[in-house]
Parts: sequence; C-alpha cells; structure tokens
Amino acid sequence: MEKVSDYLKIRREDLNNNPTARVAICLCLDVSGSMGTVERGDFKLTGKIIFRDGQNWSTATGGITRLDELQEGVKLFYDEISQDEIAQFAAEICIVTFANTAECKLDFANVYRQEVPELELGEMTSMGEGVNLALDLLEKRKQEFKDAGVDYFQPWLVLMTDGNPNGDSAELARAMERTNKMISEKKLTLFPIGVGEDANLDVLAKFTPKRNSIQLKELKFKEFFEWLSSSVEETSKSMPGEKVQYNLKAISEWGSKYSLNTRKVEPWPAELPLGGAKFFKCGKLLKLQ
Amino acid sequence: MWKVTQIAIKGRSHENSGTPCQDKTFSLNNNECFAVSLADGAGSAAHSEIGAQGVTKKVCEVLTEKFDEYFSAETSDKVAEELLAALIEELEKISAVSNCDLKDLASTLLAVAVKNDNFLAVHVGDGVIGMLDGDFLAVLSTPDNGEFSNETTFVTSPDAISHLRLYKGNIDEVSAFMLMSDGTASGFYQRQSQNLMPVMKKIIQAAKILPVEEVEKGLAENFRETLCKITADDCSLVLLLKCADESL
Repeated sequence: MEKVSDYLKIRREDLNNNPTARVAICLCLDVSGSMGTVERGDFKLTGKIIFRDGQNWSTATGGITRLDELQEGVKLFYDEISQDEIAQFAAEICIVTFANTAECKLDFANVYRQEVPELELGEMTSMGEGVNLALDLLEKRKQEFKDAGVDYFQPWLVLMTDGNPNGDSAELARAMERTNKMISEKKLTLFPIGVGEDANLDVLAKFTPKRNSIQLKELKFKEFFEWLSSSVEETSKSMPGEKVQYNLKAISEWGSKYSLNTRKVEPWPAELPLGGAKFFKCGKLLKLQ
Repeated sequence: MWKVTQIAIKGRSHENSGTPCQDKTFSLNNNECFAVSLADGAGSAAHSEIGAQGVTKKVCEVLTEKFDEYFSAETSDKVAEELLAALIEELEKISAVSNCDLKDLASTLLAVAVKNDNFLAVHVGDGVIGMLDGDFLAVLSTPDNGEFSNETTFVTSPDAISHLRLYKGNIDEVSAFMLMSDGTASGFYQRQSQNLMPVMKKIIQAAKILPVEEVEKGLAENFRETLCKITADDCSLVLLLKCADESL
C-alpha cells in the first residue's frame, strides 16, 4: 500500500516534457562560378578560358576549390552539433544557396534528421534573392515554433560569399532593408562573411546597421564552422536573462573585421559588433478586479 | 491555518560553474497575514542571488503590512507603483552596501499573501503561480517571457511596471498556492496547454499532512533525482498550504 511519503516521489513520467528551445540557423551560401576557384591541391590547366560570374576564368581539372572547402566546413558543423547533448536537439539548420537563382537546398529540421546536401556550382551571384529566401524561411519557421508552443532563440543567418552580387538590384536592396530592420529590432543575428580577396566586403557591410562585415582569413572554413557550432552550443544552454557569451577571442583566429565607414580590415575587436542587446515583448497588465 | 514548504535547489549549470543558487524563497507570518515569495536571479546579473534574497523578503514585508489597503484598492495602478517603488528602494540600499549597480541585482518575483478569506498575488517575469481550487489544479499566473527563449522581465527592468501583474480574490475553495521558478515550471507546467502536471496534487496532499522538514528533505531529494536531470536551471518551489491545526 502506498504511504503518504510516497506521494513526494516524482517519476520522470510524472514531469512534463517541454520541447527543447530551438536555435534556427540559416546558412545562406554563395555557389556562384567563382566558388569553383581552385585554391590548393594538384591541378592541370586545360588551356580553355571561359566567361562566368562577370569574369574570364582559366579552367583546370583536379585541385581543391573554395566550394570543396565550404562543403567540408558544413559537414564539420553538422558533426560538431550532433555530438553535443543539448545542441543536437536545439539546433535547426536550413541551407539556402544562391547562384543564378536562390534555392532552399535543405529545409529546417533537427540535425539528426538531416543529411548534408552536395553543394553544386552555378554561375551568377543572386545574393539579394538568396538573403530574401533565407529570411522568408526563418520567419516561416518562427511562426511554426509559435504555433507548436516551442520556445526559440533569436534566429541566426550566416551569409557567405566570395564575390559581387549581380542578381536583381531591387531584390538586393530589399534584402538589405530587411536585415537592417531586423537587426535593429534585435530579431536577427547576422554573420556577413566574405571569402577570398574578391569578396565585396562593402556590400556585405550594408546588410548590418553598424556597417561591418567579416573577412574569412585564408579560407578558414573549418575554424569558422567550429566556432559557429560552439556558439550554437552555448546559446542552446543559456537560461532566461542570461546573455550568451560568444568566444570573441576565437573569432580572431578565423576572421577579421571590416568596417564600411573606415574601409579597413582590422583585427577582431573585443566586442560583438553584429549581435544585439535584449528585446522585451510588451506584456499585458492585469487589473485588480 | 496555513503552513509553508519551500525548497531551492542549485541547478547543474551553477554546480558546474561553481556559482551560487540564484533562486531564493521567503515566507512571513505577520499581522494575521501569511506571505510567501520566490525570486529567480538573472543569470546575466553579477549579484542576482543577493537581489533575489532582498526582493523576496521585502515583498513579504510590504504585503503583510499593507494587505488590507492593497486588497481594498479600486485599481491596481497605484498598488503596482507603490509596491515596485518599495522593491527598488530596497534594491538600491542593497546595491549601495554591495557596491554594485541595480541591474546586477536583477531577478524575477512571484509572491502570494493570504489573510482571512482573501488573497493577493504579485508576479514579474517567468515562473508560474498555481493554486489548488477545490480539486482543480489551476494556473493563476503564467510565465511572462519575451519573444525569444532567453528573455524575460526582471524587477529592475526599465519596463517592469508594465509587466508587474497583480491579482486578488477570495480563497473560498482554494487550499494551496504554489510558486515555481522557471526551472521547476519546466517539469511541472505544460507551456502549450498552460496546465500543471497532476503529480503536483499528490505533492500537496502529502505536504499538508507530513512535517515540513520531512517534506522539504523528500522534495529536495526527488527534485535532484528527476527534475534536475531534465533542466540545468536552478529549481525552487514554495507551497502555501491551508490545513487543519493538528497537522502543524
């Protein structure tokens, strides 16, 4: 027979299983022709010259391209997230690529339900279209979280490009307006990252109110994605009222800060110029009856 | 007669970092009024456990002293302003002594006071205030979170006045009130349906009959074995229980 003191015993099944608060991350990746640039490894020139993504290119066989490095970085990101006991349930990743058009290569889901897609080279750099699609998908996922009663953190958008946007200029302007507004309202964390020497850091900086962007050092995709996964892990463990501490020192290992105002690339500063403070939703005041 | 059971358990995140438990509870029996309170110190605030301790004590003092005046007030505006001003004044004293900023003392606040057949309740931020009304486990006040998961309002927030929720009512069939921090609510409160888990009713039944020390020890052990496995946050619970004199 059950004693009164047994009433104090709490079994796991007696407790509610509220779903883990989600961190939605959209990787918005440039797969234009220039991402096929051979960066290292053995390669042979074919002798052919082609015009692609606004430039003439010598063609080659073999070698390791920027896109190959990016693909490895994305895979590493998934592996790191999958190994963390909380982040594997908290992180929801979506991959948007942009070249001639923008395409959702992988829609939001937990990492254990996803397979990293093979990134394919295109030609143009439709950056505005890519960012707008990414923002649309982030908004849609946020609404789905709300409808399902799932808590979520401020969403993240990682924008990576190695070139100049050459898609629709109106779409580009609309994308910049949207990210600036969302960042100002503390509704988005954006990482605008330029890859290689030809990345237009000015354009990337225009996606943020503080006019800053990040230059990836020496194609350190691996270091960037390691940092990104550890930041996701930190965020997923944070409590209400807790300000997430990004490992700022670690950013300097893979990135440099570019400011549109000074037009200079500088070492990463000891502050986070892209993130934001808190946003408080207005609550209702219940009157005494 | 009313009796009080209260526990505050340090969560895994604070165990790992060696920081103190930031959940604090308090109770006071004064002027024929019983008051209980709970505060969850902000993780981002340097001395939030001191702030939490300060506001839990102060809110009980104010509610027991001014219960009749507050209960008979026609609107909540003045009561909310006066109560918040008293709490901020207390925190300013603490900040002067502790040599820290007001924001370093940030915490949520939940409190209930009962006198004769009436109750008052106060809530700022997340956590849940529940009550056992007859046989029904009811939620009196739900968590007030921001849009994003790691956001809530604190007593020290600039807009705290517009987030301070006040409730009053008759006790009638109410035989227990529950105050839960966010960590405890993660196991006992269903966010989507806004209901409390039925196991809380069994805990209340046992807590009404058994000696307070036995209940607090048993609950602390059980929290560590189950609740603290599903959340890394501090977990605190205060029960204000109406019971027969002999069970005290």
